[in-house]
Amino acid sequence: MEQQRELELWQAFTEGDISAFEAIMLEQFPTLYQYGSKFSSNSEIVKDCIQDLFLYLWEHKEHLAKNVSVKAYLMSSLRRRIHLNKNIVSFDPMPANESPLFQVAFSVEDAFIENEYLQRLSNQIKDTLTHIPQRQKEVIYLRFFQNLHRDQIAEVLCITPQTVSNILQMAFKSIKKNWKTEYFGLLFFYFVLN
Amino acid sequence: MENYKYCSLQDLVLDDFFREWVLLPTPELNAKWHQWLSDNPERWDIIQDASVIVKAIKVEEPSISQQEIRSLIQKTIHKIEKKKEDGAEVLSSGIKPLKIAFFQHTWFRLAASFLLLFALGWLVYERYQTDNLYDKFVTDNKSKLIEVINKGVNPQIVQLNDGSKVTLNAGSRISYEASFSGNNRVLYLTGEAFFEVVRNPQKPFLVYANELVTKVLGTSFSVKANKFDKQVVVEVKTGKVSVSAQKGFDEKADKFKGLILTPNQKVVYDREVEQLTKSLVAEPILVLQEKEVQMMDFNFDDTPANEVFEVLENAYGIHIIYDADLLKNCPVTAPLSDQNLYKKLKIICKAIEAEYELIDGQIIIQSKGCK
Repeated sequence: MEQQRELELWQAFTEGDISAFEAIMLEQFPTLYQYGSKFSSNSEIVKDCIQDLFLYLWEHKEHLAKNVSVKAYLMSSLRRRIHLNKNIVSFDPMPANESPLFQVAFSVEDAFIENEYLQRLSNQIKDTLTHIPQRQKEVIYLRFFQNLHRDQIAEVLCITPQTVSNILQMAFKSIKKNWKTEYFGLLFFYFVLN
Repeated sequence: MENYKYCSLQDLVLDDFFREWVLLPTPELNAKWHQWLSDNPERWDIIQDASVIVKAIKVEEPSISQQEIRSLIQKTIHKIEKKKEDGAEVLSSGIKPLKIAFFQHTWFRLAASFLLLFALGWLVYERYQTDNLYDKFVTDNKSKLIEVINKGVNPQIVQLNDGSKVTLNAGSRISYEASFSGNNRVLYLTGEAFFEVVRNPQKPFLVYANELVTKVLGTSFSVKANKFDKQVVVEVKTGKVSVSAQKGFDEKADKFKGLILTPNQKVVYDREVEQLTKSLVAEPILVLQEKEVQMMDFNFDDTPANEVFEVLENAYGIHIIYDADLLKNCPVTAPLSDQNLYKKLKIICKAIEAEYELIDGQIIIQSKGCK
């Protein structure tokens, strides 16, 4: 239902409805800003890129695909745009098709946890997430923290859905592997204390 | 929901459906999960724990106020509307990310590829052209020619009608007119060969090899003119040879404009810069008859250096330039029979504190004299 509404807005926008476009911008800006900030610590660049992206979309609205996942489409465009922008500004010799640097910081909010055991487990997961490869981090971020589906992630990263699944499985594997040792250690601790 | 009966804490934490319920609950999700929990009350604890962990792990997101977002969007809308009024103005002119560097344009890449292909093709063509100088010579010559190709691995000796002898190296080819009926004895070569030419002043012997023409009356010399070498080399063993670039060479002209080579000299033609350079062969040999060689004695004992150089000059047929007045006070004592020319020069120069240089196929002795 939500997706249906998004799509209707998008189609209205491609037909030139500026209020539909404004609604899309309002809705997507926070997500885009969050995602963009993973590629550049300079918030001004991120804001500029988002605005440029919207201007570009408006100019080319007639030629845009009508049936898209709006969120994934915008994130994918923004990702490319920031990457290109970075390359041009810094004269970075890195080829445009290479993955841009994705930086994300995971944290554990202590306020939620009264139980020391759960807190340690949470920290354990956080530490694992901090150390997995960048690609896995980005997929985990999109899946868990931006709530994108497999096909949407594939679209954002320009890879196949199967690759997304593989990357997710690899990330899960490292999380579970690190967890197990900690989990059994803690259980043991638990029994002794009680 | 069957699977959730047995899944572990970690499975729950990493489960999409579970996370969705915890993070973005909807009435439908709530209903489903609560129903399931009332059916499986023993799972209550683990569901509690998992939801605590799911909620606790966060990503640090930058903060931006709703107000700022609104003002940024207003700016964008404003630009769009301004454009509508102005009509012609193109928005994207001010958009940085659209400025793709010139080398990233598809058309540029295409153009570059074509240029590269074209350049390669041209290079190959050029190569092919110079490679086939020999073929060109052969087809341009209207007389009936004999071709000899050495397909073996050992040098092949070719006896010519006039009594001259050609030692053809492996993989090399020569073409020539069997009877040598013209004014010159003409021969075309590609590859390497050593020539021993019978003397006939009325009919000079001409060797066309790549870009060089070698003209002799009667001597022995070798020519290296391989297809892919960067140089063409003519080395003289005996007699006199004149070498000219084939460009601008006229068989009928009386005067042969070229470099004159004497024994132990060689000429190197650089095919890239089209330049002839005269120098000495790597291993100069004695030019004397065998009888004279036996009488030759390179064991010097207190001999003035100028006399030593005179002996060498005669023995190798190489012109040595030196100041006889200065050197007559420099005695040389050295047994030099076994060394080659360069070794001999080195030893002598060390003894008299002089230096030698090879310039234009001659040897120049630099000395300050001896006291």
